Amino acid sequence: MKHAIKTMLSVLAVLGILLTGAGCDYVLNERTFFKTMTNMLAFPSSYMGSTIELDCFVYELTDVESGEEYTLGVRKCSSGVGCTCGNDTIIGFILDYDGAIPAAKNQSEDTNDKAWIHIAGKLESETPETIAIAAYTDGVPNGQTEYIQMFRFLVSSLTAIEDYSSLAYYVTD
Amino acid sequence: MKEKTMAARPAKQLSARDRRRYEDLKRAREEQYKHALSRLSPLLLSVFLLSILLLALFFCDLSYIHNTDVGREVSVSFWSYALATVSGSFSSPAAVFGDIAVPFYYYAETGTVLTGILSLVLVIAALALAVLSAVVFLRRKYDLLPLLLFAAGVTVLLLVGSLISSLALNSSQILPVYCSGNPACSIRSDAYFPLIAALAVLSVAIVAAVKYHSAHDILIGKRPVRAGGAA
Repeated sequence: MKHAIKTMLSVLAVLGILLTGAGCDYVLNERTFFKTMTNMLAFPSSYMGSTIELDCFVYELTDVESGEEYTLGVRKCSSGVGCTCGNDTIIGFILDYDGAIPAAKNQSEDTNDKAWIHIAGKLESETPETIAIAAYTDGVPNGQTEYIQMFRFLVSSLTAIEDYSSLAYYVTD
Repeated sequence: MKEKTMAARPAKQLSARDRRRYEDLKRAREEQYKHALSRLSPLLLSVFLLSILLLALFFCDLSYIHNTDVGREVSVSFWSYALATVSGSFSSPAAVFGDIAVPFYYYAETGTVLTGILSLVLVIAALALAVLSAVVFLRRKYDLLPLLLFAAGVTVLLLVGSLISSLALNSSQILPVYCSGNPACSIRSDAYFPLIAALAVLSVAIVAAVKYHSAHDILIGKRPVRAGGAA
């Protein structure tokens, strides 16, 4: 009986270790994008050093307080920890890329016809940057400021996606 | 002549008739014992099958956030809690761990770890219960019935503890922050289903143990039997 219990615990431990995916890379797809990004905001240190691949669209943003301009790779969302419940916002990365990044296209419109890109790279830092953006209510600026947090992403490869019919610009949990 | 008196007298003092009667009674006891044991088999099979059902019901959600507007938002099953605990992967987004990282572990670390520990011990107890019930049923190791009862009782207690620990997360920071204090949100549990199965295992195991005890009493002569053709 003792031997059986020891064996069972060992199997559970090995299974657990295999399942942690410790030190493994991440490929974000339609199913895992929102959950992984939310997890990344909560536990960024777990992702340092890992290669992350994802499909996203280009979004150009200006910090309304500092005036700094950012080129982002994002998706839209509306619920969960990374976003304010009930309000639409964006979730993704600040792109740090030596090469050319396609210009943003229809970035704020409710259409899938955007500048989609496939990127791979790593987090530059586990501390996200805070960007001040104009807050909207029902699509209309309400005069208030909202703060979003984005990790800076060191892009090692970037390709434009021509066929984005299987991708969704709006993700949920 | 009373059975006990016959058994107490040395065999050489018994007459041939008494000896025959003694043998008849002994045979009758053994037959009734075997007959009583045969009635145990369906009960023991039921215990085994119910314990397998219990393990399957651990795929139910031990913790989930229910929003009356949208239904079940995020959830973690018993198996996910146990796997996260044994691997220390409370912050992993891997699908096998459910939504344990965010919001449960992130906003209620202590409560989530406690629930995880209870779940892990529960899973081990339930696995032991299944193995024991298989051994008792297949190998007819009836002397393990007390241990089986103990495992069933422990499983029920751990289930109740896991349920309480899970529902206690309602008083953590999860709802105020994750749901922004939305009154439509609450943390609920499906633990009632495996709890019902565990109580069924315990009940049937108790009945089996009582029946085995009665059968054993027949064998050792504590209960009288009537031998066929007795004078």
